[in-house]
Amino acid sequence: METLQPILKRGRDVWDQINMPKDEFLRRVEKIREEMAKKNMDVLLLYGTGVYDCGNVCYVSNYATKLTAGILVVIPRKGELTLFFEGSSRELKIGQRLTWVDDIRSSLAGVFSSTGSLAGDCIKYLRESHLIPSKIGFVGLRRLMPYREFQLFIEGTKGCKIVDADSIINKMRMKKSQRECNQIRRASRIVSNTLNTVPGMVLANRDDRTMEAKIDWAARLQGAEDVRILLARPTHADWALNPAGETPILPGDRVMVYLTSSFERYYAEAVRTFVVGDSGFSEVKDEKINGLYQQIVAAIKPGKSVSQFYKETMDAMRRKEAKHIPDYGLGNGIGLSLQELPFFEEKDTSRFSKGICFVLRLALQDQERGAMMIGNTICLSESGAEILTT
Amino acid sequence: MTEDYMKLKKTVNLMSQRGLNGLIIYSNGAANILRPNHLHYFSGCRPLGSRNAAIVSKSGDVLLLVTPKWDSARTSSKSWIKEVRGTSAFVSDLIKGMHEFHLTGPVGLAGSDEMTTEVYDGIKQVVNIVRADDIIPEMAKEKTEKEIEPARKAGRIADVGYRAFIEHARPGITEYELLAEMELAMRSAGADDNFNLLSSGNHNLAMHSPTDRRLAEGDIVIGEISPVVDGQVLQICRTIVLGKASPLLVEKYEMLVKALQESLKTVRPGRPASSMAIAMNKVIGEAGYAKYCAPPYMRARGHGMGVGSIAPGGVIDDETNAPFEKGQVVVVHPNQYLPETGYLACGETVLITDDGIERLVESVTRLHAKEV
Repeated sequence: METLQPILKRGRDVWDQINMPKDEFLRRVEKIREEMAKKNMDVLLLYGTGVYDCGNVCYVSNYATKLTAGILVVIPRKGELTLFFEGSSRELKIGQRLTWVDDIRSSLAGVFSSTGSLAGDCIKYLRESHLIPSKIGFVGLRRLMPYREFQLFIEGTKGCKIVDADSIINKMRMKKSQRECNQIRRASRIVSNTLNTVPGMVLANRDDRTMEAKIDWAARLQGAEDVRILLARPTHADWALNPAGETPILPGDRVMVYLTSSFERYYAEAVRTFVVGDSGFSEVKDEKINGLYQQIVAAIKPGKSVSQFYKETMDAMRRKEAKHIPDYGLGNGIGLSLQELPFFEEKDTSRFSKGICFVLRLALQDQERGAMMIGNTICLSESGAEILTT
Repeated sequence: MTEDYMKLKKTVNLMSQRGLNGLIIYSNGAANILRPNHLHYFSGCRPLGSRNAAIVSKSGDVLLLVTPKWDSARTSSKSWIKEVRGTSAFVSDLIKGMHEFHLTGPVGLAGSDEMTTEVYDGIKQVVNIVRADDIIPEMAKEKTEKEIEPARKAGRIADVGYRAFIEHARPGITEYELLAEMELAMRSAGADDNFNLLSSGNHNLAMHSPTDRRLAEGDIVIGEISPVVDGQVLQICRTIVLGKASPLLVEKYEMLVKALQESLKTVRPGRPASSMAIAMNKVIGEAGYAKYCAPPYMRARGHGMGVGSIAPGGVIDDETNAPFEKGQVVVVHPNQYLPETGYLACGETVLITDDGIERLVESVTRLHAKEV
C-alpha cells in the first residue's frame, strides 16, 4: 500500500551477513547474467530511488539509500559490478559497509547538486569501459528515473540497442529464497510484536500523534529500519487511512492501525483495529471477517493463478453477503519493496508458487459496525499459506 | 485577502510574466531536506502517493490530482484547493484536467526533477512544456508569520530531541535504540517527521543512519537533530562525550564553536551567503585545518531549509553568491572532521530578521560531557 514517504529512513541500518551472505547476491547476479546471455545483452542497468523504490538495486547489491536519492547498478556480462549513488564523497565509507559491490562511486547529483548527473556519470563510465555501443537492458529506468535523467541516458547511449529488462528481475524477485522468506519473517515479527504492544500502551496525550510516536518507537526498538503508520476511524462515514494528525482518541473510538516495517531491507505489513476503553486499547476481533479471512487464506495454493484467486475471493465475499471495500487493494507481493508483483487483481497473469510472500488485505463495509479491515503478511510454502504476522 | 489567495494570485502573475498559459506543479510524494517541495508549498498539504499534480490555469482555476485515490479526503481537508480528485489513472486524468482548463501552448512545469518519463511523455503530447522550477521558490522567498511558525515549533521540538539525546545516551545502548528514544520524544512533542543522523565512537567519520553499535564510555556521540513540522525542517548539530572530555577534544570543539559564532555574525540580510562560509573557514583554517575545509572532511557550511524555498541554497560554501534575506531559515554548521578527534557536530538554525538573526532553539551549542 502507498504510504506517506518519510524524509529519511531512520531506523537500524545494518547488513548482517549471517542473515544475508554475499553468496546469495552472487547467485542472483549469476542468474541475471544467464538471462542476459540468453537475450544477448552486454550490460544491464538497474535503477532505484531512495524512499520510493530501490528494491531492484537492493536485490543485487544490498545497497539502499536512506534519502530521496537515485542509485544505479551496472552489471556487465563479465567483470565487476559498479554502483553509483547520488550523494557526497563522505558517504562512500558508509556505503561500503552496506554492500558487497567493491566499485561504489558517489555522484554529486540530484538533490546534492544542480549541475551533476547520475546518468551523466554512468554514461561516462560506460564509454570508458567500452560498453558503448552495446546491447543494454534497462531495469527501473523508464518507470522510476526523472525524465531528464532518462533522456540523458537515451541520448548518451545512441548507437546502443536498448531493451526493457524489468521482467528478468521481476520474475526472480517474485519467488523468494529461504533466506528472503526468513528476513520477511523477521520483519513480520517486528510488525506483530509492535501491534501487540498497543493494548498495553500508555499515552501521555490521547491523540493519534502520540499513538503513532509510541508505535514507531516500539518497532524501532526491535531493529526496524523503516516504519510507516497510517491510522483511521473506521466507524466514521468518510473514513480513510491517514498519516497521524492531532485527532483526539476518545473512549469508544475504534482505531484502525496500518503498520509496515522493514528489517534489513525486507518489509512486512499488517492491519488491525482496536477499540478504546477506559483503561486502554483492546483488539477488535470480529468473527465474520476473521472467518472469511481464514477461508480465503486457505484457498491459496501453489499453482493457482492470481486471477482465479481474485475471482474466488470476490465470490466468497458475495456468498457471505459481505460488501468489499476495494480502495486499498486486496493485496500484493511484498519484500524489498512495499508493493511488488503479483498484484491481486483480476487481470494479473501470474501464478502462486512456493516462496511467494504477499500481503492479503480484506476490507469490508458492515452496516452496523462500519468498515473493517484485516491485513497480514503471508508466505506460501508447499504446505500452503502461512500467516507471518500473527 | 487570505494567504492562500495571495499564493494563487502570485502564481498567476508569475505565469503571466513568463507567457505561460498554465502551470503544472508536480510531486512524486518524496519530501526532501535539500530541495523545495513545490506541491506541498502550493497546496498546503504534503502529498502521500507517488504521483500528484496541481493544474493552474491562467485565469486562476486550480485542480489538484492525488494518488492513491483514497487520499483525496485527507488532501481536501488540508488544502485550500477546492477541486481535489483522487485518481488511479493519473496520466489520463491529468491530461483530462488539462483539457478541462483548455491548456494549450506553453505550460510551465514545477517540480520537474520528480517527474518520470511516462508522465512527461503523456503531457508533452498535449502542450508545450516549459520548465518552471523557479516559480514556487520565487514565491516562497518571502515568508509570512504563518509560514515561520512551524520553524519556531520545530525549534522547540529540536530542544526536546537534544534533551532526550543527553538523557538516553549511555554506555550499552545501541545507536538505533538511542535514536528511537529521541524520536519518541520529538514525535510526541509534535514532529510529523524527522531527519536525524548520528554516529558514535572514539573517532567518527561522518553522521549516518543508526547501526547496532553499542555506546561505550569515552565515546564521542554526534547527532544531527532535525524535526519536521508541516514540511519545515529545523536542524541542530550536537556532540556529547560519555565521560570526561579530554582537553584536546574540549580545545577542538571550542574552536568549532568560535567558528560558529564568527560565522553567525555574518548572517545578515543583504550579505552574500558566502560570507558565512568564509568566516567559518577562516577560524578553522587559522587553527591549522585549512585543508580539511573541503569534502570529504565536511559537506557544506550550511544550507537553507523551507517548504517552498531552500534559499540561499542547498549548499552554502565560499562561492555561494546568493544573498541572505529576511525570512530565510538557515542552518549554520561547522560540522567537521579533524584528524585528532574525528568528525564533530556543531551547529544551529537561525531565522533571518530585518536586521540580523533570531535563534530558533534555546539549547546552547557546546560540547556536553555526560557523567557515566
